[in-house]
Amino acid sequence: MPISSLIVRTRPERVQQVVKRVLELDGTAAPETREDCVVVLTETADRRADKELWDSIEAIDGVTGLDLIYHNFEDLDGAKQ
Amino acid sequence: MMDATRRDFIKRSALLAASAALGGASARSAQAQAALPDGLSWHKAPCRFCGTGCGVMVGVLDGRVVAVQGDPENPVNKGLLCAKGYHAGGILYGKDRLEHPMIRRNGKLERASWNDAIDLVADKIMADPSRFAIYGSGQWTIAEGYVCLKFLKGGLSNNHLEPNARLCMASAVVGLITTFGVDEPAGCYEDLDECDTVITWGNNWAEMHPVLFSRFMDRKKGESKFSAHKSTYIDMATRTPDPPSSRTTISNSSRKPTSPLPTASASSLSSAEPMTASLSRSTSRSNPMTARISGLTNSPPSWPTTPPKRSRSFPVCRSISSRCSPTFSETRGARSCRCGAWA
Repeated sequence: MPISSLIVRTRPERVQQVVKRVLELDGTAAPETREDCVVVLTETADRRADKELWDSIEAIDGVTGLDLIYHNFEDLDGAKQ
Repeated sequence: MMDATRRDFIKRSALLAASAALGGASARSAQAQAALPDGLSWHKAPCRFCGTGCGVMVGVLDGRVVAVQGDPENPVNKGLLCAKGYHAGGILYGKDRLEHPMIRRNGKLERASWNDAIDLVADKIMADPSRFAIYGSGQWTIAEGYVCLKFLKGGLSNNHLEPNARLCMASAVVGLITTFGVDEPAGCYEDLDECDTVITWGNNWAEMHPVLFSRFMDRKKGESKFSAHKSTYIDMATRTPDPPSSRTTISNSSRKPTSPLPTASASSLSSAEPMTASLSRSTSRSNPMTARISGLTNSPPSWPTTPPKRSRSFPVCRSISSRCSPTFSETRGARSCRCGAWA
């Protein structure tokens, strides 16, 4: 189950709407918001779903860019603790 | 399954890295440290999916890559990656990756040992060394290119070496020499941190090089060591098919084009940004550094408040946001678009 953190860049006047729309998507959290960007944490079933979730975030009104910061795709079924 | 403690641990590392990436140099240093507590061994590597040269931190667990993050200490990307960098780790384990030599026998590819494969290649080369060539890659490391050149010239006595880089650089060098007088890009990434104006031609860098675009967006907010002014972005002929000619004027004082110049427009993230610009350029070979840009002003935008009548059937947003596509504009009507720049 990949875990990723992103910086979602937004138009400043739409940052709150973007946060609201991001949180409506499954597997997201937005714990930090700045003037024109949002830190988003994503957690999905597999890497394909991860990418699709990113595409959904990019398609939100007011989003101008998306930067990947951290991406972990450990074998979550491999019992590695 | 991974237990909750391990999962929470990774989440905290991910959030700490992202928060630090929003800060300055000291925070980015903290980002570098943030990777350490998650139990992985981290190694530096370059992302090779485009020519930007982003630094990637690769997290390894039991000899297997399991995580990537932007290198916060890399001066190019400063901790950021794009969707291409996202695949830098996982692509190592793609199901369609060639993992061992294959030799075609009786029309069918069969798995072979390295010794058999190397013997076969050597036999083919030595049958006629003068007919052997290597077609390399612009993503070669310097060491790889050096070895191939030595192998061909010193080992086989031929000069049959080409990279795919020739295809782009042959045209790029002509343009760069003509425009800037040097055969490589005349600027550097630090220019994006300090520039007052950026002009692009048909370059959707929000889509193609998003890390550099994010870097410029930081400059656009006024974060510069040398200037208190915010930067201006002028985007010409990237996605607007037929804007009014009054927005940006391109004149060529030394050579008249045989066909009309491509339509040019100026665009910006904010409608309050300066839009008017004129560019005059000399193409004299004796003085290639005569390119100059004049007339950049801070006057209010001159384009009409209503969208211009277009010859094409679809509306096009003039925002620099690459995600605001004509399709989205169509679904939302001609007077609005997803990013809001059209309205």
